[in-house]
Amino acid sequence: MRQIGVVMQDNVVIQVDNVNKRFKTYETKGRGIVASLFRKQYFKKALTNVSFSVKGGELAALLGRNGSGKSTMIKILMGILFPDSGRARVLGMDPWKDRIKLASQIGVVLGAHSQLYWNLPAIDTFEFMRHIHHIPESMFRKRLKYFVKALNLEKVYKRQARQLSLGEQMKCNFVASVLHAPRIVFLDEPTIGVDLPSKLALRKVILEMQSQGTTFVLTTHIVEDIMIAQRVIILDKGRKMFDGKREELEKLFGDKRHVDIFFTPGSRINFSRFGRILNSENGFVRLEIEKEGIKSKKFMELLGNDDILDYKITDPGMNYVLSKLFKSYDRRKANKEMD
Amino acid sequence: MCSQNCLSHTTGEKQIRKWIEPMRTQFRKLEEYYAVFLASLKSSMHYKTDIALSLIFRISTALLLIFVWTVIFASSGANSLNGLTLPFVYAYFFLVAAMSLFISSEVHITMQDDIREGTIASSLVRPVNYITQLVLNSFGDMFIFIIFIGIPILIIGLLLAHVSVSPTTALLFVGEIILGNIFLFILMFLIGMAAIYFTHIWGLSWVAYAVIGLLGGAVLPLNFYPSAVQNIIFLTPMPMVFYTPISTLLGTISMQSAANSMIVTLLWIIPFAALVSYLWNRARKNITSAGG
Repeated sequence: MRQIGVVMQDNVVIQVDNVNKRFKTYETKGRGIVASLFRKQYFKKALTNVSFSVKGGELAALLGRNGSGKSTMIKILMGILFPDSGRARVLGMDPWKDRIKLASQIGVVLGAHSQLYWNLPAIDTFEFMRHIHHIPESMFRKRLKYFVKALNLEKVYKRQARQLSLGEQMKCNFVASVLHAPRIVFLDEPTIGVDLPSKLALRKVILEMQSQGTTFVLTTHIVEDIMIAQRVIILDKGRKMFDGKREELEKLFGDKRHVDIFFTPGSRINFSRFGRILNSENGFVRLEIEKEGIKSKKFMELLGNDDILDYKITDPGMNYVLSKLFKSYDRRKANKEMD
Repeated sequence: MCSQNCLSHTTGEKQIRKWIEPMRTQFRKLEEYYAVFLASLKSSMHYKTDIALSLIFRISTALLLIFVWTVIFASSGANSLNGLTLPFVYAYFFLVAAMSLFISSEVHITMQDDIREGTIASSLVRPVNYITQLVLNSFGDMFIFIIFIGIPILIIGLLLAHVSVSPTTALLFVGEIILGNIFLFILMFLIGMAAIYFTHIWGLSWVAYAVIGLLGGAVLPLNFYPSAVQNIIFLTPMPMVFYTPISTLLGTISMQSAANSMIVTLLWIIPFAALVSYLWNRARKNITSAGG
């Protein structure tokens, strides 16, 4: 593989410094036919002072709700969008200026825009990629064989692309985008319409490629998808909210456990003494307590109480952390606007 | 694996590599271009019914115009109008039908969709210039149509007028077509680029088609216009789209005026291309490609 890009300090392959991007959009006032003729133009900030860096061989997830700016960020790194201010460097290159040179070093899987030629079988797109990236024939055969087997595409890749299911298209799109063994792979919402077995197969392939040194940047709004990432960057409304290891994110609000308790209705246990009450109905309560609190004598006694019929202790997990994170952010923002 | 030794070169070898390397780079580029062209060509082959219907459509438009002109010639009673006899008028409109294939290239529509739906992203992840991809794609799309529709209609036209074409004329015709299409591409590219600001460019493209049809000689051979108007039109590259190549093939204009027309077109194309490429490099910073 030809290596063009300069390896930056500390093996950093992606460096983003204070990137800003805003879009011109239009808003219609009112709802009538006449009103639709008059549009108010305004600027929407897609990214505000975003900075981060990714090291070679990392698997980083860019997570955010819809419209958080994660696709915009990826497109800036691909050289498709031009940042209003700030600096982005991929493999030491300016993605906007060196787009063509960079394109042979990176692979991009866009969930929303397939690389496949609709009228042609996927194999024709693969051949197209072989020519366009100058992949040696023997290497091409070897990689294709691997991907076809790993992603279960034997019966798929010779059929016309438009006849494939969404998940099959996505898998073929993935293969087309990584056949040239890129150093960095950007995955923008790669699991749209992919069923569970395929998702797991994709995950396995990604991890295998990573173990051979490929860097991955994945954008998604699906929490499950980030479970393979070691590093998580969260964007919201164009701002970076979190940047760190996935484990750190999971423990961001402390190491908590949720305890669902079913008890005899009418019993007078004061649950708030043991932890925060998240949910309470007649005969049911959900408590949030510190992980250590579970083994405390006080808590053991509670569970031993005759009125307690059943209980279940769970790790609240990433979904809970994220919803809490976004909620706190929204609240802070609402407070700011009130002032 | 190759050891460290076998990767080093003597000075002489280095010199040779210095010469070969640029050629290799060019060759690699050609492979990329071939791939883009081939993929479009293969894609277009899936529209077999489209090709057949397009042939019927184009012949019937030519026939319609031929009916009109037969009536005009009959009512005027003359043998030739503005130096064109009826068989030549027949041939002219058959050739227009063949050449209008180039007009049907959808560069601007591709650009509009690319910009509006954000599909430009899938072109820009490839290590090939976007404009080059557009050219190769539209050529790939047209190729089958040129072979199965353009050339047969062209031959019918030539047979109608009993014209025999010399190799020089044929070569000149091809040269003119290339020039005319470069101009056409730049014009359509400019219109496509407008999609960055207007989102929809259908209206604009229909205006352009009307202008090209009128000034290019698709509606009426240009020698039917008043000479003052002709003088102005021949200062533009428009005749190169239809009138000049067709007349060259039919032998109704002199080599001299064909050459003049080519020079005029070239003089337009160079600054026009520079301007459009400057505008594009500025405008593409404004592509928003939201949603996706």
